[in-house]
Amino acid sequence: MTITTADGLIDAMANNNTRIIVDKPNFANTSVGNYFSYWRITGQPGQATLPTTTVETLDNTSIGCINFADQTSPTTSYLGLLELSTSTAATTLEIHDRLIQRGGLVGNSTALQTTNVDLTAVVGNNLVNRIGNPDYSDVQWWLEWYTDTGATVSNAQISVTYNDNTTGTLNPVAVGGTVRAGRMIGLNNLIPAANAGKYIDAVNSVQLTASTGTAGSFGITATRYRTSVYTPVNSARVTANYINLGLPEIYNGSCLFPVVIAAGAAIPFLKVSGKIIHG
Amino acid sequence: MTITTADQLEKGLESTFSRFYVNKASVTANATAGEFFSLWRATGVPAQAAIPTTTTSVPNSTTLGAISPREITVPSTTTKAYLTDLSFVTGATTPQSTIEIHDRLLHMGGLSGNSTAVQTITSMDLFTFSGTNNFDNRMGPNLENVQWWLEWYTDTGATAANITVNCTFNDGLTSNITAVTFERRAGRMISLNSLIPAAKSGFYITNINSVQLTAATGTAGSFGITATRYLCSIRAPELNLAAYADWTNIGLPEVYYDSCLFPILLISPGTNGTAGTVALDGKIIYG
Repeated sequence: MTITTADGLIDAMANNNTRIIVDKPNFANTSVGNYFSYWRITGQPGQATLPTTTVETLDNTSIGCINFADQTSPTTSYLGLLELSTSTAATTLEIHDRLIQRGGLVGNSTALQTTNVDLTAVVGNNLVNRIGNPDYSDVQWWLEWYTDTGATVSNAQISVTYNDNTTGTLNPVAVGGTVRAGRMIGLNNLIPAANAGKYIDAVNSVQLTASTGTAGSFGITATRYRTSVYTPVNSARVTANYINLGLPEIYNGSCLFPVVIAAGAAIPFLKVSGKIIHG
Repeated sequence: MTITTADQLEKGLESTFSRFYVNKASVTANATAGEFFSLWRATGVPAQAAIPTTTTSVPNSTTLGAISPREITVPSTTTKAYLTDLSFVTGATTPQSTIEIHDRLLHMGGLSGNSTAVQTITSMDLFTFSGTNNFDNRMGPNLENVQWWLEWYTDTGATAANITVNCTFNDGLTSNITAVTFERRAGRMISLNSLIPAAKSGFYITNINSVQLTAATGTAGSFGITATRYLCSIRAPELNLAAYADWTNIGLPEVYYDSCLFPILLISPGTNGTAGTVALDGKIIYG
């Protein structure tokens, strides 16, 4: 069954749930106002393996994700509680479902780097449900850095396919100035006016206007945002209950992982707890 | 019985509950902003606990220092207990401090900060104590629910040193957790889960086998290993004002009988990071 009553919510919160524990060490090299992925940070959950040039979909068995057990239909899972403490005030934690990834892009080449990260071609890992709206409007696309690229000024030109099967190039985005490992740059906001009303369903290639000077490593990631919590002060645990969180459904197979909007040059610790409730 | 409805929750809140009260002295002398401090050894109510011995043990609700509403000590297959409410007041100069409630699963002490020898720890093993003090239920179904800590009971010395902690993971293999800066004050807790290295990604600690310092700190002091299970928390945004959290904010955690509940203080820098007195009130309801 799905949770449709207050009784069902209370029963699930009290008796049928999975406790989330995230305990991460220092995240160096963050920068104020930018998004950073905890996918490759050690601790608990463990450090995920470095994405390769192979496009792969993720699920709740992938190393690096927040564990929970798939439920047997019609039992459904929801995020019912989320608590955050971090050493940097004004940090926002977002929980995303990591849908698909591809790494191995380099920052010191001006050649066309083909990516072929295509959500329309995937069917496993319950991705049809996890993607959400079939027009791909729930999907967030990112450039994600795994090791630092170089300092030389450069822009990335990103070729995508939209949900009407047309292709186009996103507005250019700066990738010089030494983009640090863990950084995530959102692509949805780069959809140009000419393609207004469309949504990205595939990222086909990336090309830099100049070598940044260092190869580094970065890739393409698609996620679906689930919820967030914000801490106004450092080293205090703040709580968001099911009302604050919006009781988002957690689909079987979801590869949940933390993304932060950083408020400082480092995040010495990040501790998250919560409850995925089932009913 | 299990609480499964709003009516049962309401009944528990109104008529079938126990209150507990915690009133602890300040740990100001040792407090460090932004760090976790155990109130296990702080004086007040509940009483100051004894320093654990070198023998690993499973504390329960009757252990001196535990928050122990009477009913939790009664094993029952039909009665279930849930934590529904917390209020928290802190004094002195500690706005924004947080109290976490943990179930203290395992502990041992007697480790020295003045030795560079391997200090062997026996039976600090999640699979040794099945059946003891309701350990299986308290530990929970998932190893990731267990949080491992270094916990200080008396100050170690000031000389710089790191500690290497040898662990066994749930793949049955051992690995070291390293690079923990060692010089600490009494009460301090350092999480080990966050230090799981990349080589053990995807695995969880099941045993702590030994610790070894890179240098003597100059003072033996006393520290140990503790395993806990997190239940809930509450933050006090202001000084000397009660903060409240109801069941929606603490997640209605089940409190298993024999649980050894105790508070851990996360000290916010707030103003100057010192810690004041702690007054905590809570309600555990029964179905």
